[in-house]
This record gives sequence, structure tokens and C-alpha cells, in this order.
Amino acid sequence: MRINPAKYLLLFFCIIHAGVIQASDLLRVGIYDNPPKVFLDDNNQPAGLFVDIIIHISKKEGFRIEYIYDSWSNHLDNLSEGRIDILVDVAYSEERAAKYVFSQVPVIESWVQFFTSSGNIINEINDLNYKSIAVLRESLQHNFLRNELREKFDVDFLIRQFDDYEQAIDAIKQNRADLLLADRFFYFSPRRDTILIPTSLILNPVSLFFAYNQSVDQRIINNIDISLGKLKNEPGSVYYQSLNKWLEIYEPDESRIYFYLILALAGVLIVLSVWLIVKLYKRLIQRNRELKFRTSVLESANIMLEELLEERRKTEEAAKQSEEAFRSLFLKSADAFSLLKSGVFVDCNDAAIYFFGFKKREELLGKNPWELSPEYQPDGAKSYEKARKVITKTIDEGNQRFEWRHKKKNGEEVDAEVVLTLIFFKGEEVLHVSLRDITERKKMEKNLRESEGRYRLLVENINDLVIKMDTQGRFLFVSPSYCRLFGKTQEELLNKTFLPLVHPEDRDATEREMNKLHNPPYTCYLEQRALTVEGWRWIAWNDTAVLDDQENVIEIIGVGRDITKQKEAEFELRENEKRWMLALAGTGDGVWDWNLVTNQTYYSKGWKDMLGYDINDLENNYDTWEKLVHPDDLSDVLNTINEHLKGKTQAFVAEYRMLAKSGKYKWILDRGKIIEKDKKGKPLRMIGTHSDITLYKESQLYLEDRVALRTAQMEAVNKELEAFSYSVSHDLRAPLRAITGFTKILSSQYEKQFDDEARRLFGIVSDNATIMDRLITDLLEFSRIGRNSIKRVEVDMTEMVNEVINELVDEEQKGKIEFIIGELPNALADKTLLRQVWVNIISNAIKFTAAREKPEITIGGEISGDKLVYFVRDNGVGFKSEYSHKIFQVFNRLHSADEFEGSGVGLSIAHRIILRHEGNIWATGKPGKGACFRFSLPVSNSD
Amino acid sequence: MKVQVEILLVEDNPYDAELTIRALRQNNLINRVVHVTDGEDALDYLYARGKFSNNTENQPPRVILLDIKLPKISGLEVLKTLKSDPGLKHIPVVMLTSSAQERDIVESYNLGTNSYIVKPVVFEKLVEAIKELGYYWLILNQPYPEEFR
Repeated sequence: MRINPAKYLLLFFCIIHAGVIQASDLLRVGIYDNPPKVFLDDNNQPAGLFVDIIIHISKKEGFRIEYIYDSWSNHLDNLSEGRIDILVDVAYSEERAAKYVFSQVPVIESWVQFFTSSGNIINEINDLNYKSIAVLRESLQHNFLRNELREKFDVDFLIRQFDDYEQAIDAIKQNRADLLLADRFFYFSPRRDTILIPTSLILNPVSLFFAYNQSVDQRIINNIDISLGKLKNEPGSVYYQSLNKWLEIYEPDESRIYFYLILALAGVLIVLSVWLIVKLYKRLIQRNRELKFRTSVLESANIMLEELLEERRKTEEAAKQSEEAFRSLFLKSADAFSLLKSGVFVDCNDAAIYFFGFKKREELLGKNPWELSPEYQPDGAKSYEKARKVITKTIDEGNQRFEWRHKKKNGEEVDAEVVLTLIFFKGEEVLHVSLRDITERKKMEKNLRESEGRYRLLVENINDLVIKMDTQGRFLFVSPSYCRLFGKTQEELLNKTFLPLVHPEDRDATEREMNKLHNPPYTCYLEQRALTVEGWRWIAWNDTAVLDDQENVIEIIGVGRDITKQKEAEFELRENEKRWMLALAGTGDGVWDWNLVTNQTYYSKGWKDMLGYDINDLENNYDTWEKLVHPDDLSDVLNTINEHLKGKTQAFVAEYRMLAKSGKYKWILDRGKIIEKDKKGKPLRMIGTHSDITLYKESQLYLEDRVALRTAQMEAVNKELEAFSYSVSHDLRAPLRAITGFTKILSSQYEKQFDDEARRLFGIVSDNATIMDRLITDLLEFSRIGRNSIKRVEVDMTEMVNEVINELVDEEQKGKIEFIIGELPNALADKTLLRQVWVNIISNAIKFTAAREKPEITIGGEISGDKLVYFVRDNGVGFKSEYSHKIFQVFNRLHSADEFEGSGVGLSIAHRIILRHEGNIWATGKPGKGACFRFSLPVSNSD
Repeated sequence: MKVQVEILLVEDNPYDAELTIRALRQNNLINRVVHVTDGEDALDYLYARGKFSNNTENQPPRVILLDIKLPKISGLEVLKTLKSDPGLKHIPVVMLTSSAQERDIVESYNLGTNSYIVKPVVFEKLVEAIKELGYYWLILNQPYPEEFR
């Protein structure tokens, strides 16, 4: 089972509360003004029937009482919300029983009774029809009237509620209400004005109880019930004494004192009567005398009266004629007129008959307005109640004009504008009803509202600003978005001019643009700054003029949009442009900016300065440039530009000559780029720079000339060198041949004439000639390498090395020298020259290992990074490492010619060949330990 | 009297010429040598003109040893003239030169030389080279038949 903690808490508070009441013996009693049952007397003390009873019981039961005074309706809330513990004089109803605890014993029986002023005669229920009845607000009587009387007895009346009897009585006195409905005790109330007399209508008997707050201890309630029961069962108790006191009920059996009092009163009455009779007789005689005199006066007055009557008859006749005139007006009027008396149509005109779809007057007469209406009006009110209200209002306050939905005879509903007028007709209050069919108008209003609604929806929801103004620039309409942006209400803006909101610097331009509205096409576009709640903002306006038939502007409609962001972006762009233009100006370069659509071209000051022109010398268009370009260069430059415009190049770069103001041509380096294209990619704008490269160009040309000259000189020298070496190869050798040849002939043919020493000397001559021949050969070879171009092909190094070894080494040496050949990567080189390198290096190695018992030559190679490195290592005589740099110098020998033959050119040649291949050659060695020669070649073909 | 000239030596250097002739002699080829010292004489001899105009009876040589560097008309020019003459072009021409200049070698063969010998500085080698040359051209090589001249 679920425990509801709130419930337990509530119960707990109830117990505490009940305990408090018991402990303090205090009961808070709600009292209000309803004499003689309960009220405050002249001394402001609680008094009345119920007060007597509760005081008696409190004394008996032993609790204290605190009175709390308030209005009846307030007390009902006070009781349910616990501000009072007990409320006296409460009629039982199921509704109330749900909110309060009622005592078991009723205090007294009651009923309701109508009171009225003397003018109204109420004998039966039906006399209540169309009467206005005053009651206390939220009283039992009110409930009875509202919920029971109408239903049960089929009568109709107006209910008027008042806070107290005093107000209700005033209303009756002033004819704002016909009747007062109160309980029977009201008759005994001092509040009852003598003007109010009870009618014979007595209704709705009820019992009146004490009602308690629900938290009051049930035992207290029971005790009070018991005490009350005792009081009621005991004749002469306080209960009955109080009843007598307040309701002036005579109880003969009660006491003899009353009997004697009445006898005494009867004696006094007889004496007074005798005295009155005598007095009256005397006055009668005197009156008789007076009457005779008055009769004569009256006779003369009678004659006067007859004259007066005759006059009145004439007046009435005139009035009758006037009435007929009005009546005919009434009957013939196109507006529907009718007369309403006590809520019933009593007369009407033809238009009214027609209005309701009737044929005869009798069909309408006798009906109520609400019978000819749908049950509910468009606002949801019941037609019947609403009609009663407006009728009362007309009577109370005068003419009423309102809209009303009627129902025709055929059921069709029709909207009418109704005017009710209170008139006095033949001494009676009658309502004149004027009806006008406004169904069409309502329909149009509805359409208008809908279309306005749609328009409003549009205008209120778009962010664009919409305004309408007159020709003076005064606002006739501003959209909510406009009001929001400018932080003003429509009322503040309407009929004011827009100009004060515009930035002072933009006002002239704005007015200039708006002048265009007066000529076709009667539109204009303008951008202006305006002071909004966010500060100055850029607004773009598209204005359109509204024209009259004569094409005069009568109004201007503007649609605006905040373009501050775009403007800021544009500004940023311009600033950027300014910055780089400034930067370029610093370099002395010129700037051009070519609009390809208009051919307008901007040339910076630097651009013009470069050619010596003043700012105003040249027009800012494309032709200016084309005219200045050297005629020989123009077609090339245009081709370059066209390549770029066609998108074939990333940028356009050209060098050409331009005519300076001095009449000389200057060399210009022109670099440009397309910076704007349209959506289809068509170039719109191109910018670029000019640099003066005249100096550079001139020095370049000078250099080119110099290079050509030098090349020619070199070629000549080369040719001379070639001729020289050619002659050397032929002419220097012939003497050598002669020396060796004739020495040989001398030594062989004249052998016997020479001794051994002479023959040795011949040998020396011959050997030196041979050495010289060798020197010449090598020198020529050396010079040849520098002259001839090299042809690179892929070389199989393994194959080449093996060939070279076979060539250099004869059969006898082969067995002796051990060649160890490792991996040799292929190279890209001049085959003849490379072969020479191998020959020179390997022969070198053979030469220097010849003296070794076991000559060993190792040959190998490897790829090292982007280089090929080859080596030839031997175990020969070696050399001192400090001489390694001399090895490759021409004619340099590290060993004497006696030790090893050779010209000292071979390694120089190898060195030269390797250098020409962009490689390197170097050697390492140690005396007696052998040497290692290495050379490198580039891996890739870089010639 | 009709003399059968075996070798025409065209050499301007007298020492080279002597050495060459000595080498030929050692190989028993000397009796059949005619020595001229420049290109003009070489051509005059072959065409029997100028100072050789009365030599009309001489037979053409079986081989011509032609130095490249010659006064007046160079060896290469002589070679060019010979090889473009239908009457003389069948005579074998051996270019004798001091240098192994590539340019000369290529040019010689282009012009139709039959052989090319770099004159060795060492005499023994020269003798050896002349001997081989003589044997080849004078003994092993069959001359162009007489009747087709």
C-alpha cells in the first residue's frame, strides 16, 4: 500500500489545530450584518438571535469566543480556509456540506420572501416576469433565484446583486430594482426601510445551521448540538427569549404581565378615542362653513377648467396628427424598426417583418428578441442572457448600439447592428429597436481582416525593412522590423521624416538619389548610414514611387536591408588594397588595375613616374598602355596576356619596352594576374605591377655582347692551340726520329769504329729521344681532352676493366699479378675517355707493383649516395700521403725516372677526364704499403 | 726505257725520307723507289707533267707512301686528287704520318686511303713497319690487272 505523506501531514496538523482550540477554549465566530439574526449593534457589539444563542452555549460549555466581522461572502471563504472556526446562520446545501461541517441540530427555520415598494403588486409567481430583483451577492437567495425559481416556475426576471441590504434598498428606492428577495428575518430587521413591504410570496423553506471549519474538533460540535437541542426543547429558555426579543413574537402563555399590559393599553385607547371624537365633531362644523365658500370658488374654477379642457383637446388632436406622421415614418422606413415592451415585440414596421423573413406583422409581434436569435451569440454568450443584460443596460444607462446575430424564420443567420433607445410611449417605458443588416459588411470586414492578416504576417516576419512615406519623406507606414532596428515605436515614427536618422554625410547623396523617383522608371537604389539601436549601420534601400493617374508621385515605398557586413568587408578589401599599393609604392614599382569589362584602367603614380609622365598626362584606360608599348614588342606581350586570359598560365609575366616621356624606350618587367571572374569564369579584372628593368636589361645585353666576344676569342685561341698541337705532333717528332734513326744507323753500321763506352752513349741519346716522343704524345693527349666534347653513354665497367687488363698485361705477367675484381656498377660516361682513365690508373698500379714478389691489384666500385665510386688498390711501392695532392699535377712525378718509366702525365690525364665528367679523383698511400686510387662519377645524367 | 716503279715515296723531310729508304733497303725494296719531296711533284710525277713530262713511259707505282704534311700541296689533297681520278684511284695509298692525330686519320680514310701508318720514332720499329708494309703491298697484294687500266 502506498502511503501518501501529504495526507498524513495534513492529519497531523488537524490534530494539533483541534488541540489548540480545546486548550485555549477559544472559538472564532464569524459574524456579519444580517439583523436581527446577527449584526453589530449601535455600540459596535455583536448582537442578534444567533449571538444570544452562541453566547449562552459558550458559557455553558466553557469556551471563549472571538468575533470576527466580515461580509457574508468573505466569511464563506474565511470558514473554508480556517480563518474562522464557526459561522452562524448558514443554510444547508450539498455544495456547502462538501466544504463545511454542519451542526446536526438546526438553529431555526427560515424561508425567502419578496419585499417591494408600495407601487408593485405581487400576488403570484407570474407577477415576477420581467421584474428586476435585488439580492445579496452570493447569498442563498441569489442561488435560489438563479438556479431554482426560473426553472421551477418558468418565470423570467433580472437579478441584481448587492453587497448589503442598504445598497439594495437604495436601488429599489431609485427604481433600479423592482423587488428585494430576502429571508423572512429581514422583515424584523432595523435595516428594513418602511418603504419595503413584504409580499405574499413566500418560498423555499430552509433550516439554518451553525457551520464549522472542517478542522474543528467533532466533540465540540457535538457538545454545541446537545446544548442547542436542550435550549430548543425547553420553553422559556434563552432560545425562546431571544426569539421573542428579536422577532417580536407574542406568546400569551408566557406571562400575565403581558395580559395586564394589554388591558391598560385598551383603557388608554378608549379615553383617547372619546377625546378624538369630540375634537373631530368641532372640526366638522367648521369644515361645513368652509365648504360652502369653497363651492362658489369651485364653480368659477369649473368654467375655467372647461376652457382648459377645450384647449387640451386641440393639443391632443395636433399630437395625434404628429404621432400619425411619425408612425407613418416608422412604418415606411427602410431600416427595420420595432418596439419592445417587457422583452416582447409589440410593434414593428415592414422592414422589420422583412428582416426576420416573416410575411405578416402578427408573426413577429409577441415574440422575444432571443427567440429570433441563435442560442449563442458569436462571442459565446447565451443570446437570452445577453439580450436581458443589454435591455437592462439601456434602461439604466440609455441608448445602446451593438452588433447582434439574429436568426430568420428560415433559420438563416444574419448579423445586425442594433440600436436600442428607451422611449416613453403612452406613459410606458418602451424600447425602440433599430436593426440594420450588416452581414455583407461583416463578410467584407472578415475578408479585409484576413488579407490584412496575411500582409501583416509578411511585413512582420521579413527581416527586410519596409516603409511607406509621402513625398516630403514623412513616414506613413513603418514595418515592425524597422521599428525594432531603430528602437522606436510606430507612433513615434509616423508622420516624422526619415532624414534625421540618416548620417549627415549621406544626406545629400540620399536626396540626390531620391530625386530620381520623380522620373521613369520611378525607382532608385541608395546606400546610407542610419542611426539604429546598434549604432550607425549601412542600409541599402530600393525605393519605388507610387504614382497617381497623372504620373505624379504620391507615395514612396522603400524596402531596406542592413548591408553593414558587406560594407565592412568591402572596406576591409579597400584597406588591404591601399596597404599593398602603399607597399608597392615603396618599392618604386608601378601598379595598374584593368577593368576588362569597361577597359577603364587605373595607373598608379609610380607607374606614370617610371616613364616620366605626370599624373594628368595619361588617360586612365587600356589604350594608354597599348600606345606606349614598343611596336616590335606589342604582339608578343599581347600573346602573353591572352595566354593568361585563356587560363593557360598562372600569371602573366613579360619584359618589353615602353615609350617614356623623354622619347626614349624603357625596359619594363610587367607581372599581372586576374583577380576577379564572373560566375562563368570570364575574367573581369586584372591587376599587375611594372618594374623598371632598363638598367638590368642594358647590363644584360652588354654582358651578352661580352660573352659572345669572349666566346669568339676563346674559339680563336682554341683553334690556334689546335694548330699548335698539330704542328707539334708532326714537326717535333721528325727531329726525334732523325736522332734515333741515325744514332741507330751509326751504332750498327759503324760498330767496329766505336768502343763500348761510345755505344753506351749512343744508347743514352736514343733513349732520351724516345722519352721525348712519349712526352709529346702525352702532352697532346692531355690538351686534346680539354678541347673535345664528351659523349656520355652507358658503360659496362666490368667489361671495360677486363679489356683494359687484357690489353695491358702480357701472358708472362698474367701469371704473376693477381687481379681481384669486385662489383663494378655501370656508369654514364664518354667511353673513350673513361677507358683512358682505367688504362692510366691500372697501368700505374702494374708499374708500381712490378717489383713485388706477389703483385696484387684489387679493383671495385659502389654506389654512394648520388655518386659512383670506383677504386684501384695495389700492394706496390706506395707514396707518402703528404704528396697525394701532387700526384695528379702534370709532369709531376713522385718517383725518379730511373726507378719507374713514365712522363708524369698519365694521372693528370685521368684527373682531367674525371673532372670533365663532374666527378672527382683522389689517392691515398703509404710508402712500401701500396696505394689506392679512387674516382667518382655522378649517378645521373647531368650533362 | 720503261721502268717499273714499285713505290712512290712522297716525303718532304730528308731525314725521314732517308730513314724510310734505308728501311726499305734493309728489306730489299729500295731499287723500285721514286722519292719526291712535295705534293706538287707527286702529282706531276703521276700525271707525267712539269719536270716529269718526259717520263711518259713510266709505269704507275704499285704503292704510294704519302706523308700528310707536305709543302705546296698537302698529302690529303694529293690523296683526294688520286682517289677522285678513275685512272689512278686503284693505286694503293699508305698514309705515313708523324702524329696519331685523330682528325688526320678520319680524314684520310674518308678520302679513300688504303692504310695509315704512324711513323715510329724508334728506327727498329720503323724498319719493321716498312717491311710489313712492303711485303703486303708489293708482294701479297695482287696489282690491278694491266689490261683494265
